[in-house]
Amino acid sequence: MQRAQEGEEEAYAELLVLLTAATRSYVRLRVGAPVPWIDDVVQETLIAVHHARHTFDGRRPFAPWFYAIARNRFVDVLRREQRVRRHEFAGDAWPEFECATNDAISRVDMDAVQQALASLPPRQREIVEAIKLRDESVRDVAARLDMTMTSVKVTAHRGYRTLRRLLGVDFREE
Amino acid sequence: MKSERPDLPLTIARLVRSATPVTPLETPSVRLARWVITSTALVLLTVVILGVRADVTAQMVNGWFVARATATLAIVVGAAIVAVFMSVPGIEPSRLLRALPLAACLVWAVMLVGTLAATRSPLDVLLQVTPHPSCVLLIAATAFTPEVMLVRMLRHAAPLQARLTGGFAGLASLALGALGTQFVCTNDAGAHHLLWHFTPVVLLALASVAVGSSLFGWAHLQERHSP
Repeated sequence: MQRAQEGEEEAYAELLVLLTAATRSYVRLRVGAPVPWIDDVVQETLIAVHHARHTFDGRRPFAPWFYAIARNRFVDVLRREQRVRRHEFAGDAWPEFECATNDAISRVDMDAVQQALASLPPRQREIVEAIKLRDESVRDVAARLDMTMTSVKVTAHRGYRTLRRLLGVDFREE
Repeated sequence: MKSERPDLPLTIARLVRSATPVTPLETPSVRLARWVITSTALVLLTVVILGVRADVTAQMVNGWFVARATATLAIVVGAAIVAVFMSVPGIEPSRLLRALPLAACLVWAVMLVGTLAATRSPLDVLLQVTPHPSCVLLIAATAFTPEVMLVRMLRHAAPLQARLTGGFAGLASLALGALGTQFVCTNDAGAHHLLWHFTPVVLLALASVAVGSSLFGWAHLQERHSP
């Protein structure tokens, strides 16, 4: 880690590979069963380690520092997944304009859609437009905007929710 | 839409590419000492500018004054220690240590309520307290710069519990503001201190908990260190 703090790319790459395995083991140990979001925790942990690497003190042991971050990211992703499952998304489906009922479609005019899109905060608008209008994948959007995929999904969902409210359309989420 | 999972090799490659050398953070003790010294000096300066109460020399040997000052000082130091240590992964303070500033808050409250309870009709005394919003303003104004300094310091680290960190940072700064205000405000009545010193500190500290997630969430770190 100290070599990584000094900017040694090779040492840092080695460390991140090791931490990938360590995080996976940690999540398996905590959950006790395979979960589909294990790599979300790994990704969030690696990004967090990267952003917090200046806080590691070489005179202290590495494990408590790392596992504090891993635990924090694990709990965050776990909560998000539980929330998503419970309230926000059903499965991995997203509200599609195509999924709207005929009645809903007849009530939506494109000017209203454009106006509603324009009223979204810039980041939400960018993500909704990218996913829904330009058909970009969540992964591409996340990479382009330097966000995690989970953050992109959550931001997009907030955008959909606002659009639904503004347009008075009952999108089906399934 | 199909479920998409992170591309970890790509993530690692991106992180490695952006791994510029970083200067390790100073130890929490050094950062804490710097904040305490600078903030105390700033509060002293503010108090001198606003005008120290005329009887300050007499008050320094007044047990009631000293007890209140000691309680607020304990909150300042305790909450600042907790906030600064919470901002470094792996050395987060224990639950017991986290409880200390809250215990100091409780002591402060008990002292004030105690003086109120000693009166013949505490409720009447409480209802007859003259409003002193200037004390709230003074506390907030005195706490402002220390709060900004502490928030900057904590944001430079990596707090894992954003709301709690926000709450303790707010409590430390506001208690410091209350400590400074005690040297300006000449009203020593327990009811006045309870309503116009203690309550605002607690309420504003709770508000700090609410804004903690936006101040100390991981998003700010990502913005600052983005490749």
